[in-house]
Amino acid sequence: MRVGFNYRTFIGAVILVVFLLFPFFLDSYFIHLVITILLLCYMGACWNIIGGYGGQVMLCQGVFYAIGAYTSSLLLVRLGVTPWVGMFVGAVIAAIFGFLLGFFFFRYELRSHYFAVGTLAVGAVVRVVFSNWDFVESTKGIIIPISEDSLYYFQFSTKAMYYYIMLAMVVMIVLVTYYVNRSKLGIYLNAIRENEDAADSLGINRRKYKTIAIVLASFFTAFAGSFTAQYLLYIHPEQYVNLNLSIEALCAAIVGGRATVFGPILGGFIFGSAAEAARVYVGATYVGSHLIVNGIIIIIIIVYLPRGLQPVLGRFAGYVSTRIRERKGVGGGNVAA
Amino acid sequence: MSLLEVKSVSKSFKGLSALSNVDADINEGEIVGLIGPNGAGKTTLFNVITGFIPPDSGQIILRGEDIVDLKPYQICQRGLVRTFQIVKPFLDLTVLENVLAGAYNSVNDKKEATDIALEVLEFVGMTHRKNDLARILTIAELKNLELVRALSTKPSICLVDEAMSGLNPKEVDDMLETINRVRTERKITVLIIEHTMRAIMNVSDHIIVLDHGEKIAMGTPAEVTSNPKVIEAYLGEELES
Repeated sequence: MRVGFNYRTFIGAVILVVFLLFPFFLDSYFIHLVITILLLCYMGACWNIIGGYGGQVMLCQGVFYAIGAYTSSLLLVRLGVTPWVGMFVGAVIAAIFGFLLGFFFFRYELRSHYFAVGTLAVGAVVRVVFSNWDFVESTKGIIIPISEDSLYYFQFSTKAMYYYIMLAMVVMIVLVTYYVNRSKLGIYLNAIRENEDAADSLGINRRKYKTIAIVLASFFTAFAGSFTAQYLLYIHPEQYVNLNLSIEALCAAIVGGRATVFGPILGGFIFGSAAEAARVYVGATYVGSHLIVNGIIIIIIIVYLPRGLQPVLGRFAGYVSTRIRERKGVGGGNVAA
Repeated sequence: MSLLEVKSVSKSFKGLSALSNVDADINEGEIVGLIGPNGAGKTTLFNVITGFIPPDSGQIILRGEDIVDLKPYQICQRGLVRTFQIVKPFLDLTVLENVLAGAYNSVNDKKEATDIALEVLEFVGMTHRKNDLARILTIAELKNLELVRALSTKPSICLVDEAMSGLNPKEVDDMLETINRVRTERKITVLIIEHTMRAIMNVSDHIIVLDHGEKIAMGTPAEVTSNPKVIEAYLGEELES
């Protein structure tokens, strides 16, 4: 590779700077919208680790999200523990729950559809539990008391602060995915997704690697739950242990490109903004019609681009950069995919 | 001492006996052929040896260790690897990534695994295909990939299930040469199932013949082809013609 100007780093840096400057140009509605979209990207990226790389269609992401939200909020409301600590406690509890789930589901070889249905059931059960369990305030929900602008209580008077925290979380999950992608874990999960028997015959301990993937996904999902709880200051089981949440995350990952580093981010933006636009322009007149628009997007992507948008854009970027190099008269060579 | 010993292995599926009291000894550095008519239990024997199907009774001993209760991946980690008759490539991964999945069996580092993968790809002359998706390969290349992926796990013994079915004569010759080189250059013992008689007679040191789940003969290709039981069960027509 030629030393000097690296287009990828340059483009990455530009995008990051644009994101850092966003709050200075946008009003609070749009900041809120971008936060919501980033949250979707983040959830998609978490799902991507188990669902995209490992090919295990997990439909109970809301459970981990809720564990994160409830843990940090209960610690805050009952014991006055800062959410910064609470979110790590929540993540650890979610990871333990994820481990148990993986331990039993993969122990009894719940593959493909069976795994999806199994996790769906777990989501339904946990939802009922949270709705009836007085310790977590059942259907009353938890209201987090409003404090002043306080780093300790994770409450800020401007949306910009929440935005930056969410942005940092997205950067974090991208880095995590990047390392998964280039490591042994990434190759092993890919192999497991493509063919479990072949993976088994090549010395891959499927159960172990699938469990690692689900633990990673649940650990990071819980942070998103704690964040949302602090952002909205209200928790309700219907809103957190929610199947839609898992489905939307899954859609973000699939639209953008499963088993890719930036796919869920790309997909989150496309899916998130299309959904919001549909909600604003169509959903206002015909209630619920934005969901139809979402459905159409998904169908188009799955039919025409089953691997999502990221591989297509990647090829396009590769094409452009070879062209640029050819123009400059530099020996082209193969562009790494 | 033999590398792999199969001791009176039996397996039946709902009363239908697929293997009954099969014994086999495979020594280090040999190429052993496993033949038999369709339904003789060859692939079942492979599945039992590699841990995909538990046997009803019997022992399978790899380097003195009983591996009957181990899972396929554990058996692979102990140096016994297999290929599948119906190839199972990772279709959406590149050729290199396919092989990497096997190469990580013996190392954890990406650089080392990549070195192993590239070296094995070079061994069968598939280096030029490394960045292509497995999806676009030809049948011959898929069969090669299946073998390469198995070799990348650094096995001491490789079980090859019909690596030559569906190939044209030229490709069969290439595959035979590759399998010979697996033994001579990589010092890997090979147990091979094959239907192409010409192929298996050329390449094997010993041949085991299965019929209706029973071992009916074992010996050099010459001994086996002159064995009346084998002729009766399987080779009769071919030899007379």
